[in-house]
Amino acid sequence: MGAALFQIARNLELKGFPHVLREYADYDGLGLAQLVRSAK
Amino acid sequence: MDAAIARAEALNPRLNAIVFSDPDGARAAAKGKLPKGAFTGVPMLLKDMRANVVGWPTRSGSRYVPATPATQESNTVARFKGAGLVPFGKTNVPEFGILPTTESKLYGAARNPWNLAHSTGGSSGGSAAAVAAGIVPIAHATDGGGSIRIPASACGLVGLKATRGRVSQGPEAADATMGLSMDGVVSKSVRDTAAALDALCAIDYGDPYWAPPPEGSYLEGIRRKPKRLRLAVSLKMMNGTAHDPEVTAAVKATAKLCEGLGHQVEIADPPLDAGTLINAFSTIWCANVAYSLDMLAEQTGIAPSLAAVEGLTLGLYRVGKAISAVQLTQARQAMMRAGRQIAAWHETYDCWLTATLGRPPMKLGTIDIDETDIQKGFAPNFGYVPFTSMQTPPARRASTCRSTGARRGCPWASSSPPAPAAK
Repeated sequence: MGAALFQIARNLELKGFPHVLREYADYDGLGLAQLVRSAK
Repeated sequence: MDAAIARAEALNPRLNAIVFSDPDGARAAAKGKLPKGAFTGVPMLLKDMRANVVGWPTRSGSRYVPATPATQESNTVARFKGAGLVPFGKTNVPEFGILPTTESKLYGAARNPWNLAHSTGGSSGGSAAAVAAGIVPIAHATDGGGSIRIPASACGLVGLKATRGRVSQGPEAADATMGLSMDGVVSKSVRDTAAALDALCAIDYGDPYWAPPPEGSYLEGIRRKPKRLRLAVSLKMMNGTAHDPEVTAAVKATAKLCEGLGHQVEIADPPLDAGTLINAFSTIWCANVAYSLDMLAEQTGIAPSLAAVEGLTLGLYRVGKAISAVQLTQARQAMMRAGRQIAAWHETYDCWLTATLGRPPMKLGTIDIDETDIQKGFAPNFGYVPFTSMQTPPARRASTCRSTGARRGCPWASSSPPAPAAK
């Protein structure tokens, strides 16, 4: 299993679910980690 | 951490997603020095299966499993912590993770945040409900026959069952359910799942086998544009039966999206004997339920009975006890042959696009956990989880899914790309 699955899934996410991504922009795990770093 | 705990306290009475929590310990951990990783300071939850934390009980959703605090930390937990994640509790599961819904006598039902009357899917349903409700952005999950992918679909999340041997189950387990079961996460985004797999995939040389190291970071990998892939899409179940029309429409929409992204999409099914595969899967599953319950009987001094376990679990145990060594070996060989067939098929197709659930998420109470006749008890599964256990045999494979967020939170797809050319 390699990067291709993640690439296609991410591209589908960007193309098919932009509304979801906008909603999650600051609230997925990596987004929250960025907020934590910014707060320090 | 305070915000996650507050949201858990506000929502969990309705969702029943979290079955054990240690808010004080988690707050102390969050205030202390945390490892620098992709998720430093982010709260998370762990499924009540495997994922042991020292001092916390893990009961696998069963009254039969004593609430004994663990004395050893699981590799998965150590790796989550190494990425900076801070676990603060454990999430609801059906007994021993055997159902595609999260309902048990020990914990009761986890409820789908999209519609409280419906199932979260299972068996990682508590984790999926907690993520979908915004309590945490990511939670531990495990998958044998679909237990990451099914709740990810039912709750509108990303779920990935990684390649066999990619994530260590040590030190207490290895090759769980004879290689059927893996550890991973449910999350809100593909990038989170990629970063979590980066964190989880270190080799433990005590494991009986491991997957070849990845060619690089999965998180870095998703930033690259994939080459044009050849995708097979299944619009029906393996026996030719149609899905719920809403599901078929979602799969078609996803296939169209893939075409729009430049991939070649064809309607095609792998050359698998679905009946043989399901029988083999069931044999291995039942044998492992029998093994687990006999180990618990030895530990507790209590024989498996309806006083100790649920009806469906006891039914699986009885079937498992009657399986011979030769039958179990036949089942494993059948799975391995299927793995080779799928691998050969993937020389032609890079990915296999399918529905995850054949119908929208079931209503709670659909499966009678008191039923000891497993044919009757598991009847609601037929057509509901048409592919997830089929996508289990190949040693090198992975699956992911994402809900459309359509009416009742219907799923769109899972895919399986083990062809070397696709890597």
